[in-house]
Amino acid sequence: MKHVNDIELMEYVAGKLTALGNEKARVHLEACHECSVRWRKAVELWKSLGQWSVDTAGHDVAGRITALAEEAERKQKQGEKTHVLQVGFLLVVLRVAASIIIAIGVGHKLGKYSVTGNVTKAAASENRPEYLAALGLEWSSELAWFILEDDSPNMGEER
Amino acid sequence: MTNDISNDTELMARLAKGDISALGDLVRKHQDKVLSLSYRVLGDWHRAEDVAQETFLRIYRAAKNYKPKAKFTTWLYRIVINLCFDEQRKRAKAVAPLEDVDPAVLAESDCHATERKEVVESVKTAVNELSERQRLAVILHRYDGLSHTEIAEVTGWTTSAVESLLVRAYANLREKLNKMKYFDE
Repeated sequence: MKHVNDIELMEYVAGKLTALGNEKARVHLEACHECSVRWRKAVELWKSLGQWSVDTAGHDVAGRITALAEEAERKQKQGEKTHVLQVGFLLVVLRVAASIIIAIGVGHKLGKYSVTGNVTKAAASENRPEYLAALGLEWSSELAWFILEDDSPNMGEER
Repeated sequence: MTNDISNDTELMARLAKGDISALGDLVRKHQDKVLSLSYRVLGDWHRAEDVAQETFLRIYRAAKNYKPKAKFTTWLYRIVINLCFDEQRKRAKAVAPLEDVDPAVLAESDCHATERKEVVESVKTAVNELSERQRLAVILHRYDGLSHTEIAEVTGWTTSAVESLLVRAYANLREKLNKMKYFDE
């Protein structure tokens, strides 16, 4: 004869066996003294444990939780608004920056074709006196002005 | 049962759309289960309320990504248990009181009530003396009516591990209550 094992006995007491399992256990318990003693003890334990009931009546947390959720929802919406504002401001800054870059680029390109842009330094170098050229000096050189001052005092006044 | 599941799924769908009243409905529907489970595990109403609050706030935050793959209550129990474990870890060094004494119970003065109170105290002591896993298995099985498979789903343990834990837990409880002279040998 196969005895009811501990798990089956536990589930039988808890009323969680299938109809067939329940019937099998019941028939066996009626016939087997050893198992019926185990069953009696199991029922006793089950009932004793069942006396520990928990009364949650004074612990309603629904109001607190919904209030917290509403608060979180409100903060989230505010956060979204701030985020939208930040994105808008960033777009304006980017537009201004792009405009400046384009303006600089266009200005640089057009500058190449300007009249003043075509003046070369070579022209100035070609008109320099021979003695300056012999010394390897340009008009712009400080040493050149020293030499010119020595030659003609008027040049210094002009300067 | 099916209506309950669909109802929970509907409530979650409403919550995902930003309907906070759905959260209120969910809390009112499940708070007793959540509170009693966390109270039995933690043995303290204050901490049990904190766990219940955090559980439902997590549900609220997860609502937009919620997909009803498993039963809602399985997910709910899983959150509660994880939070209870976290809470126990936080307070591991502190000795948790078994319970605040319920004034309503104290008010009972007749002999039967006193006797019943003694039994309840003995049971609570015996359950609280079990190992963490055995205690959780017994609470979910005896007080929340979960099957072995459901306990396995909620805790992440195997079904055979759950069965083994339950057998040992009930045997230990019987032994402890015997020592308290509650049962006849």
